[in-house]
Amino acid sequence: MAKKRILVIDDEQSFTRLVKLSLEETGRYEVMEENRGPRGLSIARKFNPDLVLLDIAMPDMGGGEVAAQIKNDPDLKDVPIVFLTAVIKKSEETIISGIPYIAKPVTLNKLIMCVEDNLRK
Amino acid sequence: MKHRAGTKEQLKPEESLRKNEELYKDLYRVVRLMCDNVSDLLWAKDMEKKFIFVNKAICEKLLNAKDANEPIGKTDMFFAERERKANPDDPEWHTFGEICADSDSVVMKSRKAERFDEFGNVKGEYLNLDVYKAPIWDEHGEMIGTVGCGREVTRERKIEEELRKSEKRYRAIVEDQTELICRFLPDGTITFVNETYCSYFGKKKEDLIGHSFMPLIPDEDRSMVRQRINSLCSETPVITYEHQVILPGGKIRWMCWKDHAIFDDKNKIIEYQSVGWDITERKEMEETLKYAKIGLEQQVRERTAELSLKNEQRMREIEELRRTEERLHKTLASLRVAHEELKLAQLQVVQAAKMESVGILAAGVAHEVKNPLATIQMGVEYLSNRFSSLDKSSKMVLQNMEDAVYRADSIVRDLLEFSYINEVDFEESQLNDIILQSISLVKHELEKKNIKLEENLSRDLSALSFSTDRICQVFVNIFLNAIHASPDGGILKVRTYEKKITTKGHFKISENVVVAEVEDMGEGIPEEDIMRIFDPFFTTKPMGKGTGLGLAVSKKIMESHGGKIEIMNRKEGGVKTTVMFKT
Repeated sequence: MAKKRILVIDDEQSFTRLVKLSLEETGRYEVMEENRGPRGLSIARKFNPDLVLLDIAMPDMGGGEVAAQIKNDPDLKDVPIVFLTAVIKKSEETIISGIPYIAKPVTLNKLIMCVEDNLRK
Repeated sequence: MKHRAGTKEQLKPEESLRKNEELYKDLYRVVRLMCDNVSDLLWAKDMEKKFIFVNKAICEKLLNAKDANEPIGKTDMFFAERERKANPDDPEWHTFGEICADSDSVVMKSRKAERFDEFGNVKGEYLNLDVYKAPIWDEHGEMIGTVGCGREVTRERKIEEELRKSEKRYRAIVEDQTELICRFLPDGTITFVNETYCSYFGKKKEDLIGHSFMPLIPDEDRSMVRQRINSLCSETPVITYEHQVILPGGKIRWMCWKDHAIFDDKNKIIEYQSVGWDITERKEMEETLKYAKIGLEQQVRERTAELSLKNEQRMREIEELRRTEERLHKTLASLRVAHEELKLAQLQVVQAAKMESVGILAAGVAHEVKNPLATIQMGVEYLSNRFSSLDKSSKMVLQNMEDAVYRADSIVRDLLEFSYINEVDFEESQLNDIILQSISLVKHELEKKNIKLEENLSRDLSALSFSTDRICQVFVNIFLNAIHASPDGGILKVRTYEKKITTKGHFKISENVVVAEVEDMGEGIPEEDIMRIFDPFFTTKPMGKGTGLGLAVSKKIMESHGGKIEIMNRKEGGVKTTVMFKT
């Protein structure tokens, strides 16, 4: 069974590294990490992920905008996105509406469950 | 009488002579007897002042002669000398004598009858004689001597003398009086005045006596004076009265008179005696006093009026002050109420500010805290999975770390509630439903602590508009606190009802509210903590068992719903929490 490709975009490098380590440890996932929002789209094009874990609050470019680019890319428009967020602000509610999210901090179990639930079928 | 019995024509010459002799003899005898028996002194003297006749009385009383014959041919002086010689040691024994001779000379010289007052000592005693002496004329008109008679008036003269002295004395008294003294007849004619009277009116005695005193009195007083005088009678013989008098030059003075009526045997007034004194000064003084009194009374009246005016003014001021005070009291009372309300409001503001700042802080830091927490969480799990053969204590450390992350995350999550509470969606709902939902969430805890639930939920509550999730959160908080405070079990009472507000406070008077009361039988809240229970992070639970944000969040939620939450200790122990919603 081919490994599922997970792209995690978060400005917190320690976090993305641990997500990569933890998920790859299971042997079921191949994880690509990216810490800068503006580069998210080009990485996604190259990596062609089965799911994107996307941090909402990032400098340079927020998760919302990155999600919009992905959703507007004809090749990537069906790639499921799960938001990662520490705080859901009122202003962000419309952005994430319809998009599942994981509140940080999150346990590995919950993360895997969420990933499994939302993987591109 | 015998000697007058016969007549000349009836007798012969010798017989007639004899009869005449007898007649004369008889006559002499009778005359002699008459003279010797009369008590007056009788005598006759020749031109040489020698006695030619004396009676018995002069012999005894003056001459000290042994009989009526002895003095014949002798003078008064003979006897005077004899007496003096007989009593040489007493010069006062006999001083009578010379005076008699002198008066003889006077009569002989004047050749007419005269009266003399003759006196002197006889036998050492004072003798006073009222003596009449007259020349003796013979048939030819020749003076042949003197004849005299004397009557003893020693006693009378003494009385007269004393009377004279007495009168003099009284006169002196009268004259020396400073009072005016006068006597007058019923018709007003003056009969007596003293010197003072004269000098007072500046008139001579003779100009006053014999004239009426009325002209001395001004016209206007005269009838009054007359009336007063006429009022005197035997029953009231004395009166005192005052009137004015006119002095020379027309000067008017005031006099006071004391009139005394003098009556005759038939009680008829014959005269008045009057004593008067000048009272002008007194009158003037009285007048002055009267004016002074009038002036004083006027002043007193004016001052009284002034004072009562001032008094009235003062009363008005006092009344005004009283009113002001009353107003001030009212103002003070309302200020106190306002102060209390302000204090409360301030507390609420402080509380709100605290919560607000906590909310802002939470929102600000939550992101920064949660990201590292996420890293730690992932890291701890990664390590745990990677070293499955870790020893017991290392595993425990990793577990502790994971718990710590969870706790830190819970705190940040609760804090975030503050920034979200105001952003709620309201929906129509029944409070009872929310309460039951909340109870079901804590049911497990209630059973665990063996706490019995007593519900008393009113079926007639008005529907409320609120965020069901938030209100549910409030009740869960309340229940969890109650459960925590009742480690030994007990009863948890839940009651709902609706009421009208009757006292001013958070709600307006007569506003309808739905009330939920939760009572536990637990430990209650220490008095020192009761003010802080709504403070964020205030908790009595042990570390890790509570964030201290439950009630702070509940309060904020209630406020965002326009409601109110109150927590107080029950008298019988435990805590009563009241939640109120405006309908």
